[in-house]
Amino acid sequence: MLNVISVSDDLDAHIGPNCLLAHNHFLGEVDLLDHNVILLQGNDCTAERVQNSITSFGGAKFILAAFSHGRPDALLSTAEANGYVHVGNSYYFSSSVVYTNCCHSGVILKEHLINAGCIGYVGYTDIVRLPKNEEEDILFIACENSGLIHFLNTGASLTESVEFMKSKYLEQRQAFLTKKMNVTAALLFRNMNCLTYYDDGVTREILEN
Amino acid sequence: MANNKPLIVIIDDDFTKDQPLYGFLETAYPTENLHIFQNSADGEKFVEQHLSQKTIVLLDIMFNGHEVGVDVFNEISKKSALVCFIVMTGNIEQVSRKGLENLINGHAWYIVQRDKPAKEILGIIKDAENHIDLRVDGALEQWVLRHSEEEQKKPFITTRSGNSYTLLDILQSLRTGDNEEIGQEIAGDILALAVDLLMQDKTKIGE
Repeated sequence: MLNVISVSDDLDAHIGPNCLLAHNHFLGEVDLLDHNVILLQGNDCTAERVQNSITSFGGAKFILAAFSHGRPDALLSTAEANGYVHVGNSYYFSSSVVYTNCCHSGVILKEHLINAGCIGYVGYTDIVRLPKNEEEDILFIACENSGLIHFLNTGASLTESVEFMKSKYLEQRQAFLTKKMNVTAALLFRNMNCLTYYDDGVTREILEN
Repeated sequence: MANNKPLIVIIDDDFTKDQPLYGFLETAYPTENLHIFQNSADGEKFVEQHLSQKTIVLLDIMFNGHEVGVDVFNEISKKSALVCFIVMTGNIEQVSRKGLENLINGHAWYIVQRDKPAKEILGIIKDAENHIDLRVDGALEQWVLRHSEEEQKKPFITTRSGNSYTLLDILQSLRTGDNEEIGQEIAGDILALAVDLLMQDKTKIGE
């Protein structure tokens, strides 16, 4: 049994639809029917709801998938401008895997999570840029989510899944270049270069409770 | 512009078509690309009206004993960082320290004594042209301007830190550094992509 929290800030004026798309893409690609999945959207994207969800797991390992804005020290939402995950509540994340497409969280928050005992993290050290049309947006999302999907569907290590993710980025970059969408390819490649991760030897099997 | 050559704009109250440099320029550039302004304000206005084209400005500094050229340089530089300036002066010692600071800090391409041989000045102009052709930010500016006015106003990219940018925002950023320097950052992204593609290159050498 996996414990999963998926946070998606679908209320955000700029990237709400993108967060929802990313969230739906993730849930569409991984079969979590028989698992303990908590979906937090809209006004539920708060630190309190995240912390309560973690408490409900009774100390068991879990994975947090976060689709929202970010800054160096926090993952942000419309409902929680100071962050639903931040350096101040990072101690909740011992024995967890945090997988996020937010900007900047690899700068400060990542280290706090690791220091708190987090066993796996995937995120970005800089701004994550997205094309402003749905057709290409979903292609960017497919790259961003590919590591998480690979991790949960194959039993690979997080490191192997991040390597798969990078190959997915490069594959999509080539597809853009083939279509002469060179600027879009450059934007996608930039996102890939901001990718950062931490793997303490975690696999899906280790997360199963 | 029917050709891919830069506009050559000469802003100099003493410059005429009779000068040897003009003859050299005529051999190297189409006549329609050559523009002479003895009035600095007219020259400044022309450059500002043609910011979408590659432009090299040969700029005299001293107009009737005043450093008018420095003001022209400052004004155009504020509106676009992509215009390439070659500053011509009769005697560099005439230019004030403040004026020189403006020219150097604003990245004037070259400061040349105006009594240099015309062929040598043409060589500097050719170097400037190569410089413009290789600038990624200049190419990105042309890419933006290739889109319709309607397309330029539409949101093009958004970020997960809360910003959205149109192509016009990117253009403004390229010219002035505004909008969190998004234009310069994208130019850097394109360069990074080009470098990576070169590193991945599998061209066969020899037989």
